[in-house]
Amino acid sequence: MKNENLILHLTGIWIVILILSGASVWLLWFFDSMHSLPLHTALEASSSIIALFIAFFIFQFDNDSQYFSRFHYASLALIAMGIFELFHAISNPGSLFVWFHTIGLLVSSLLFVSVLLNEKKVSLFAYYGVPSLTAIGSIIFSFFLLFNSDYLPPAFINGNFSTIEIVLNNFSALFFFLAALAFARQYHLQHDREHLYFIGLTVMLGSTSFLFQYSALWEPTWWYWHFLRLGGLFFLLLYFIRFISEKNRHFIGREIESSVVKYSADAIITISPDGTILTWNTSAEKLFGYTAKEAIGKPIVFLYSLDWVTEEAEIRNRIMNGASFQQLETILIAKNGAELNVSVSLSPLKDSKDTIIGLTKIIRDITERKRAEAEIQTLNTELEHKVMERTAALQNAYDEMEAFTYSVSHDLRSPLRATDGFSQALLEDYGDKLDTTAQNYLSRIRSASQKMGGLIDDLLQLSRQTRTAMIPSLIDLGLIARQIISELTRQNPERHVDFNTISDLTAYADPNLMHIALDNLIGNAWKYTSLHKEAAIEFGTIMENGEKVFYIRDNGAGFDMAYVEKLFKPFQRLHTVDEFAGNGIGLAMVYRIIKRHLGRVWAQGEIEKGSTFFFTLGLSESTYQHTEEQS
Amino acid sequence: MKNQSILLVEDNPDDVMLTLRALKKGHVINEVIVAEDGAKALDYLFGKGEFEGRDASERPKLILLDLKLPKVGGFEVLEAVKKDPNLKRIPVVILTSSRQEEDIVRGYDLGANSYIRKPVNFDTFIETVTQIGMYWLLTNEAPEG
Repeated sequence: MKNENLILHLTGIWIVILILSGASVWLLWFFDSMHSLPLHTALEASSSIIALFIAFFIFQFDNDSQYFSRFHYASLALIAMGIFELFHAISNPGSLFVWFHTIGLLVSSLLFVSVLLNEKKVSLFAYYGVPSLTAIGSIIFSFFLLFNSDYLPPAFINGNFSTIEIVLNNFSALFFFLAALAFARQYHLQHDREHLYFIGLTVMLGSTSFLFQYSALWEPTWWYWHFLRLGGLFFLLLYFIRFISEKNRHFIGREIESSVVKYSADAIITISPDGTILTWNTSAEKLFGYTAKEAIGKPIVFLYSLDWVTEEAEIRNRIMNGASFQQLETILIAKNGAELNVSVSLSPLKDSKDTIIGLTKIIRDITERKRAEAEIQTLNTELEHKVMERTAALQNAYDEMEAFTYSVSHDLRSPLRATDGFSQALLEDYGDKLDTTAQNYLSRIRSASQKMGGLIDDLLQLSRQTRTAMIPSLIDLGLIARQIISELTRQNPERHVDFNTISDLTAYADPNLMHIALDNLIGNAWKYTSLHKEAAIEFGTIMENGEKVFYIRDNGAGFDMAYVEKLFKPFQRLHTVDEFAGNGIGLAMVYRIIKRHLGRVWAQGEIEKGSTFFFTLGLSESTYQHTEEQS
Repeated sequence: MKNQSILLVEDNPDDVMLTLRALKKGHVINEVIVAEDGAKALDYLFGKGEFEGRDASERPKLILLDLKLPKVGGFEVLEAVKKDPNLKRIPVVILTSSRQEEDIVRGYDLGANSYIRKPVNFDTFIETVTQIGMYWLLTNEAPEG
């Protein structure tokens, strides 16, 4: 509850007490009990006991700090009032009866004024001694009055209270109001809500003392202030019971908080605005090597390396000026001189009124993390270095291959050309001098040279396939296949081949390379069905484990599955040149092209029952970008 | 016949002999000057070195140029010819073993008029050389002088 609301709340309760007290008086009148002595005794005894209880509570539950607060001074007043009123309660109505009441309130009001004294920490002896002394003093004084009542001036004159009684009660009223003002001033300074309750109590007590002069024994006004006082004290008691339970909760909360700080794995330090260390937990002791005793009271800068002093002061200022939270990483110096890599969280330290009274620093040792980060960094650098080395080696190999290819292309062909050319020259110029065998040999030399020239060309073509840049796009393989078929039909118009494309044959691939691959696969199918009357070639797709598999099936010569592994190796042939022309480079090229598309290629066949070649294409627009970046 | 000679730039004597034979077989009767390397070819064209005093205005009708040459390479010869205001109109046919894509591209970029790969088969070679001679010496219209 906000304090403003609490004032309204309390005012309301006091009004209720005023009304209830009035109602109680009315009930007494109604039941004709205005002269009931037992009721008065009960009323006064209750008031006394409540006052003593409150005093007891205040001392009992605040004893841990031995701090003598305003409420302790107020307790002394309650003790005195309680004891004198107790004697008042058990006295017979008469002069002494009134005197106990008057003296009780006077002593009590004077003691209430002691709230103007300074609050201070006192020894345990004084803490319990002062209230005990108050109680004993009150009791002795009460007994003194009891046995020496004859010396007291009369309390009544002609059935009315005597002037001295009225004057003393008015003094009490004055002191109570003075105490109320003192509590009000303190409330204005500190805003502690307890003050509001004491303001209420002292105003009420002051009022009863003030009303005294207008009352007479067994009169409604007389009863009225009796009820008023009981109601006020009763309410204060209820408040204190609640206050004490709250205080206990708060105390437990504080215990937990301090335990959290104490056993936290992070060093937790609080410092004042000028940088003096206020608290220093166990982890701080472990981390920095300074005990709490060594650290507390010293300026925090002794932990800093020189270059951080100004920076830290700046951060501190920022927080003092209202920044809520700052986090940074830095190096602090331990007692043994070791440099500690730490992460520091700074937050403002506020009192109950939200005033910034310092800073909290939570410091975590990140030396290990920093070391791991450095290690990762080193490993990364090494890895990068290795990648660079490998790339360079690869580039070297590539360059060498380039040079080799160039020399194959250029230098190896010249001698072959010379061999062929001069053999021809021999045949032409000296043919008449050579017999048929010699001429046959020369022919064989020529054909061998030409064959080797062809092989060199094939090799070059094969290596070129793997080196040309791939520019993949979404293409229709069916369209390419039909182009190839129409070209083959143009070249071999006598052939009748039933060609079919089935299902969606689009793919993300390089059109030039796929043209070469399909040229070989369809070309093979075309070639190996040449001896069959009803040749059929089918190009389609099937789904296998969620993967699109392309196939080209023919009903031609087929092959023995025992040799399937040789199919895709360069210069490996399963048929003789006499059966089917070819150099054994086609499927090797297909294999490489499909590999470059991150796909697989395989075959199934049976002699004279045809073959089926399957392939997949692993490229997609996204994976292509990825592999390009890698290569 | 003036200005009807062919400059053959070729270092391999086998290839020189075979080219000459092919030209003869193809009935190309023009005079053939052989330069065994790029330097000699340039000396001939510009009338320098061993060709000091030669009338440089007598330009060959056709240059058959190999690429892999000692001293000065084929591309350098090509570049020098195509940069020279007097020589740049002479047709240059690159006649080489290489079929490297980059060589072909570079040849055309430097202004070669044709790029021919020497085939291994001598019959095909004769046919090719005959075609070159027929085309550049007879069919093609060259500017006067």
